[in-house]
Amino acid sequence: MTEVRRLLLVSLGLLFLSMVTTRFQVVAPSALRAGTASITRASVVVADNIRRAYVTLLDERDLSREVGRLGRQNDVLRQQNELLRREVSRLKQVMNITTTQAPNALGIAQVIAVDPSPLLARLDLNMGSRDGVRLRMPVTVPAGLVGQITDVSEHSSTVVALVDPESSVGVTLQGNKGGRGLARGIPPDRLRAEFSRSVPIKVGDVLVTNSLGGVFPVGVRVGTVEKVLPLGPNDISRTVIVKPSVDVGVIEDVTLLEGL
Amino acid sequence: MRNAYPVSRGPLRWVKLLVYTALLIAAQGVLSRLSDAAGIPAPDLFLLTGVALMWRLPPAWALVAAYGVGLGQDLLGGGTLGLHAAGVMGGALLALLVRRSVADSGLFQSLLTVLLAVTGEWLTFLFLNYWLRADLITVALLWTTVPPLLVGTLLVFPLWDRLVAWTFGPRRGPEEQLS
Repeated sequence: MTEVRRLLLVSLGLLFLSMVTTRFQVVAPSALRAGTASITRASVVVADNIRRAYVTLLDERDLSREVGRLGRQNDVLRQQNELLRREVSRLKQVMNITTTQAPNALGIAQVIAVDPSPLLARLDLNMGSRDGVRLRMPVTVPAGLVGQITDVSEHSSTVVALVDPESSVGVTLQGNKGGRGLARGIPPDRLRAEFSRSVPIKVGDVLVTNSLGGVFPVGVRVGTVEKVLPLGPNDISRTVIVKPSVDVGVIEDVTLLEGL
Repeated sequence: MRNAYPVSRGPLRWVKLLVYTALLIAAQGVLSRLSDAAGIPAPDLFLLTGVALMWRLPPAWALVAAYGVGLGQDLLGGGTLGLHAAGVMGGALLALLVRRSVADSGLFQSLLTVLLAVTGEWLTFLFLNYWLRADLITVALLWTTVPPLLVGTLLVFPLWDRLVAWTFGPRRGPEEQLS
């Protein structure tokens, strides 16, 4: 008998056996599987743990992506929030100024540069003639007067602040207490105001703009009297040192008022 | 004279066989569980065991051993006895018949062996399906099951072959087959 014939014979015999057992649906008693139950149970546990670990890994990856996406979205929203907050602040400033200082506000400008000289106090704004800015326009913030426009280009303008040596502004005592004086800037951060000897000015008095010169609206806060210089025998006016209401070194947004 | 079928002897042989059987059951269980979750058929390690015996036993005994391995699969699965037994035996038979006339080398050998074994197994299933006049195997089932089963079995074959070699010893080389 050749090898192939023997193989076929064996396989046919085994196949016949299977045909009989499958035809008669012979099923092994379950007790026979009891011996391997612990192994199959362990394998199921292992497989489930592997699957869960894989699923967890995928979830972690998805969560990581989601966190990254939300983080980027959060950054954008924070930025938008910051812009909106600034916008609200500007609008509040305009509203405040139009109700307390002058109703004819031109708009809000941002300080884009400051004069580096310690002897000068000048600011560059991001609004120019294209935006309606003209020479001599008063510039204020809710805390008080900043200065006036002295130079205008198409896209920017320059403000001479009150403490600049070239600045002069007519002032009076707040609350209709009378007196009319002229305040000039003294670097780096004060003003010197002169009043007639008869004006009863004292330390702590608040000075506001008056109508002298017709540049500034009346009643805008300028500063507080910090020091009253002693009168000399030949002095015809009383000189005071004024601390300005606005620190030009820290302001970011200013309001431009239409000239009188 | 050198033994043409170098199956290891002695008490260690039975220990290895016991370890192999436990690993076979465990690995098949893990793979089946994972594959079920993924919706694909698991690689058939019982078939690979039958094929491994084909290389290491005299042909007729190899068929009987492959039938026994398939019977073990039926026992563990709790299904009708004889179905997988005939399948594994059919796979081993086809691989045995075709490989007698094909060169024995590396990757091609692995591909061919697994391909023949899977084909032989499913041809036997088809025959038994016809014999039983059952609707167990449909064309759709063949399309969706056999290709991934073949790929999965091919993928695990190199690793499983190492375990088989540890258990049953190295398989016969070409020179032994010529003798």
